[in-house]
Amino acid sequence: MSESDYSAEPLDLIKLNLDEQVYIKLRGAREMVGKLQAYDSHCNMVLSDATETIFEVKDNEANTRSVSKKSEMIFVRGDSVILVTNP
Amino acid sequence: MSQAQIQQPHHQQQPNKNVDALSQGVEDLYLESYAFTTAAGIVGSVDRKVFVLLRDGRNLFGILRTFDQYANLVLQDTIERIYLPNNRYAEADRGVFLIRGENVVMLGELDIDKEDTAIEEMVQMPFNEADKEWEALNAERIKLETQRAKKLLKVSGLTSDFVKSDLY
Amino acid sequence: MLFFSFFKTLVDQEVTVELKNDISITGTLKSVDQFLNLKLDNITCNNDTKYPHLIAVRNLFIRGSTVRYVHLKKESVDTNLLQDAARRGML
Repeated sequence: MSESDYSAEPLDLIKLNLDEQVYIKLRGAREMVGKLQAYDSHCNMVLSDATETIFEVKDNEANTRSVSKKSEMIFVRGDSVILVTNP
Repeated sequence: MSQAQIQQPHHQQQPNKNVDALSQGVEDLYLESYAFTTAAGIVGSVDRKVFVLLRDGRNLFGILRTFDQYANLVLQDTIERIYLPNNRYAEADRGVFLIRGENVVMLGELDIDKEDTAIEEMVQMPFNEADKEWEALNAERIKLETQRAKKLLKVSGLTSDFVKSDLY
Repeated sequence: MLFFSFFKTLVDQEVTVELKNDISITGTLKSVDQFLNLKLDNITCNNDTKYPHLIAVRNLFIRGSTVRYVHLKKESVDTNLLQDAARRGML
């Protein structure tokens, strides 16, 4: 697929996901799912048709609840990104 | 002596117009490449009244005199303002401030016609009192956030984004 | 460099910047720099109480490091161009 499989670096794995659905774990108990349009070495990314999920713990409860927000096109700053994978 | 220096506006980039055509061309090129730089984003606000939001949550109002590529700023006639719940606020004169760029969250140019509309409806209180209350509110917030972070971690293995020094 | 160029193509578009403190600011993107600091004109803020003086603010310089997301309109973005640039590794 890539001309130099033997020298693939972790970021090349993200390259494989371009135009595919990705799942991103973000700082602040957040997750993002969307179609990866662009990324760079800082893990700045642009996703289309993305859904952000924010997890919160309600007081006096042992479970988390989540809030979801949709965006048709979103730029995510790389310093919030923890991990990137397929959903 | 230094007082007098501070009084004059700092002309950041206005070139000397008495140059020959060749240099003029070079200037234009220089200014063109200025377009998308930190400097270009800030230079328009020089010698104007601005507000700066710092990472520790403080609001500063003053006249922007100079800046650099790191968004380090020099403000003159600076006023620090604290907002408190129940429509209260307090102000303190701070004079000249040099702000390190990494602590800046936002820098905004103020419309002097509208700048007081926010506090018109608010009640002013003495600054020392307000400062104490503000510190107490921040301490409370830090406590709550660290508790929340612990809970999130314990209950669902999620991390929190809270940093004690970022109270903006 | 890639996202610096990307934001340059978005100048004069309306964007919504969500900061790391959960405040969102909508405005017209006027300038960007290599650190992805943003300059917005004609701003409105989603929270009126946190920074009451924002109603008097015409334009805003936002430090890139404080940004969490920038919400865009789909039509502002050429996805094919973006993907190509990312693939080519304009890092």
